[in-house]
Amino acid sequence: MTPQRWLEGGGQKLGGTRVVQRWKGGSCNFPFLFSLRQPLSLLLSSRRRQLLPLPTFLLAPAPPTSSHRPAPPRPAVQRFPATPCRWSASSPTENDTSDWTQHSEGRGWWAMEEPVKGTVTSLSSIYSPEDAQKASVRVQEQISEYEKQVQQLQSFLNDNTNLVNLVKKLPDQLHHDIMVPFGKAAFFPGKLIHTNEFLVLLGEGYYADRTSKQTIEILKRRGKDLESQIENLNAVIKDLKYEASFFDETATEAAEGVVEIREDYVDEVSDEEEKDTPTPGEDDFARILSRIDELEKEEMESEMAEEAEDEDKVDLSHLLSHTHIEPEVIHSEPKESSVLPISKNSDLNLSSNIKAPASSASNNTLPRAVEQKKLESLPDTPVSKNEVLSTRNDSSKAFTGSIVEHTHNTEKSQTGQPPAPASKPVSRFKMRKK
Amino acid sequence: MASSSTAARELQKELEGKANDLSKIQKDISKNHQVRKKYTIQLGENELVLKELDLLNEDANVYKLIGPVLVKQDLAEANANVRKRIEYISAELKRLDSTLQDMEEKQNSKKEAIYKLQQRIQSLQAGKAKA
Repeated sequence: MTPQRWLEGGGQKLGGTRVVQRWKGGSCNFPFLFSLRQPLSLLLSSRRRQLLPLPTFLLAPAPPTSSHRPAPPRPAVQRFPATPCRWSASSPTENDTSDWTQHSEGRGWWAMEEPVKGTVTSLSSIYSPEDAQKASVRVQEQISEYEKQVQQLQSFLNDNTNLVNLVKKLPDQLHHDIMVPFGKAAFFPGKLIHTNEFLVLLGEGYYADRTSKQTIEILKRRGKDLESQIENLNAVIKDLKYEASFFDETATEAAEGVVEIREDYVDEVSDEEEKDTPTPGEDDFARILSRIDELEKEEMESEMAEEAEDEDKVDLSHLLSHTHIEPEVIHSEPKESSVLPISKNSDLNLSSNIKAPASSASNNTLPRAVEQKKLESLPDTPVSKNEVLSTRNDSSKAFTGSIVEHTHNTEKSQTGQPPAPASKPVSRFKMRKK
Repeated sequence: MASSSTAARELQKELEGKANDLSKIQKDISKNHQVRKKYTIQLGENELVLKELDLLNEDANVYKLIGPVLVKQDLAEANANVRKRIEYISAELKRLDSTLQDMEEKQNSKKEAIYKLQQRIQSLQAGKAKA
């Protein structure tokens, strides 16, 4: 007997084959079923049959979303491109309704070039009540379709749970006396043995030998899958219901002759905003951001440089020489010096600040000297924190601040420099904005 | 006068042609959608199978239904096959996506062209009406 025969032979006698046959017939891609192994015959004939055909659409991973989703309801007449609307300039009848679903939110349709401030359009000229009605009907149809799907899924879920119960019970006994279906109408008595062996279809033509327990696990996983699909569908239905209610509303409003009054909001505020955005505010902001980036980079550099002090000094001079420091710039001192006790040395510090610009051309000998002095004077003050100070710079030139390690910076603010040195990166923002 | 009317007629013809093209493209797109749906379903099923196969023990018996025959398969082999299948389907889906994008672009450009044609026809008619 060929396996085919084997299957068929089994099938005629025992309900199980029908499973295989159906499956093979390709009416369904993924039957939710398992089939008992042939020699061991089955008892669940009719019930099982119902489990089998799982319509292919159920296997779609999720209910259709954006791209799969049926096109939003549109007026029945298809128009080609959406006509740009110029409500007041041209006839309002030209207003294309084909685009409306896309803009349905809050019923703001298009941003139009409106030469006149404020227009009054009757809603029905934009959406004819019939169109809205049609759209609503369409959405309703979709909803009912989805609801059907949900019902189907629900029935599969029920079948699945029934099956789980059955599979649970089967191995309770060594054998079951059953009536085996024979053809469509006939039955004969039989015996179900090997009650703990199942041949489970995993999908795509793959079967596996499983025990009752394992089968139940598989079935439960499937049940979960079904549940999540149902959930997804329900969410979609909810969405659609909202859509439908919106269309209904629109339809009734249009029918009632509600009027749409639009005023050109763009003129007063958003126009300015639009103009503004690329200029000062935004610009400043961008500058600040880039400055911060630079700061961070420098911070990193300085951290790295801490180890090599000498090099670092050269670095600093570089910085000074091409960054053009204004006199009022607070130049908080060199980055390296893990032992720099600036806090206790506000005088020195100040002097260095003021002299820094002068030294910018020459290879800044002064700050170095100052620094050395500092180093000499208080070489062993412990440094508690790494703090970042920034400088103020009027132009949008490169960052001129540097990173300082010091314990307190309160004294620095006493130096009377206009921009109080910030002790935290955050305040740099504020400073900039002033 | 006569020339303008012939021009209008020509435009009309062009418009029709373009509209036909457009509807063809739209048909293709919907076909693409269907095919893609099929593939996504298959992908989902294959992934399910793969999950189940992963959960099986090493020594589990796995059969593959080939035509009317249940053929015993190695678990590893089955696993590899399913993986390959998934790979293939995802590649196919990607391909479909790109073609779909292509077609949508074409569709949009066609729509635009048609729109322009319509406008031209309208302006022609308006000119005629004035004359």
